[in-house]
Amino acid sequence: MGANHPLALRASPNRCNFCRENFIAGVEMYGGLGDADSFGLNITSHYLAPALAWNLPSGWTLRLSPGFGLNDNSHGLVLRWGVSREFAGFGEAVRQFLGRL
Amino acid sequence: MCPESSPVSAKRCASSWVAYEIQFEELFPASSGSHAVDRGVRRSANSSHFRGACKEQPETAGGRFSSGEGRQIGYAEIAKAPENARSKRNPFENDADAVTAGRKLFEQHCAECHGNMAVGGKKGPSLREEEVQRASPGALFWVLTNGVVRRGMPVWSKVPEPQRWQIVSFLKSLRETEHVSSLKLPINGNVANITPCR
Repeated sequence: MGANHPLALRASPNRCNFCRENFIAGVEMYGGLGDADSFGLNITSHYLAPALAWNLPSGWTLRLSPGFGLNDNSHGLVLRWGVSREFAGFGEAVRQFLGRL
Repeated sequence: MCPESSPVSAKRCASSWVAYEIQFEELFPASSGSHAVDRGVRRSANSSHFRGACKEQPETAGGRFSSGEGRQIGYAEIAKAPENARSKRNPFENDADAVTAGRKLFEQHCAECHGNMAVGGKKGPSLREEEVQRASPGALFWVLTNGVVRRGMPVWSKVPEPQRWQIVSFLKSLRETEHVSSLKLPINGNVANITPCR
């Protein structure tokens, strides 16, 4: 679970990569909930992590989130990072392709 | 490889472990045709249209909304805006920066369907028509916020409210630029002369 917020709600008039509205800061908490045999928090690790995402105007998003362990079962630090990209029109293309089959 | 690489009892494993996740996200309505890996911003396929892509304008010629169909389908939603939404004032009224920022946001989020310079495309109607230009800013904001899901227009509530108002500012400015032969608009921070597509 987590929450995040853009660093600026109003867009700047200029095209820019480093505008504040392109950055999203937040905090997230995650951890284990047991396994198939024993659901629960017993012997699970949990982390609290600040998170920062950078939305590039080109469509790419970079995310970085250093997580700090909250209990004895956790690592001291877990670094999560990610790169993502939205493919606009991909679903429509797939639908059209399947429609032709 | 660590045999106990799951977060459960992770500390028992002395070595570092690497995990990965792949997310596939479908943005509804499905007809908007957008898929995403995790999350990202929608990229306009026409983001460079101010750099001399006026030749693309004839997309309305064979488009879904090229005839009066757009009037019947797309524009009718504006009239459905409730009174309290219609009466909302644009906080960026008479703000020139909001128009420029709104145009940038329009390119990122809207131009893919509504076409270059909002003249209409295969998926969305022209936003230069009287129905749109006569509508109150609040009504346009309401449509933008709630979308027209069954007609394929996504809900844009994920875009921050001030940015939605900036898009509305841009849309309302189209009437004023309709008869202007050239505009001065910033591209990559530089001011450039641009001739609107006709």
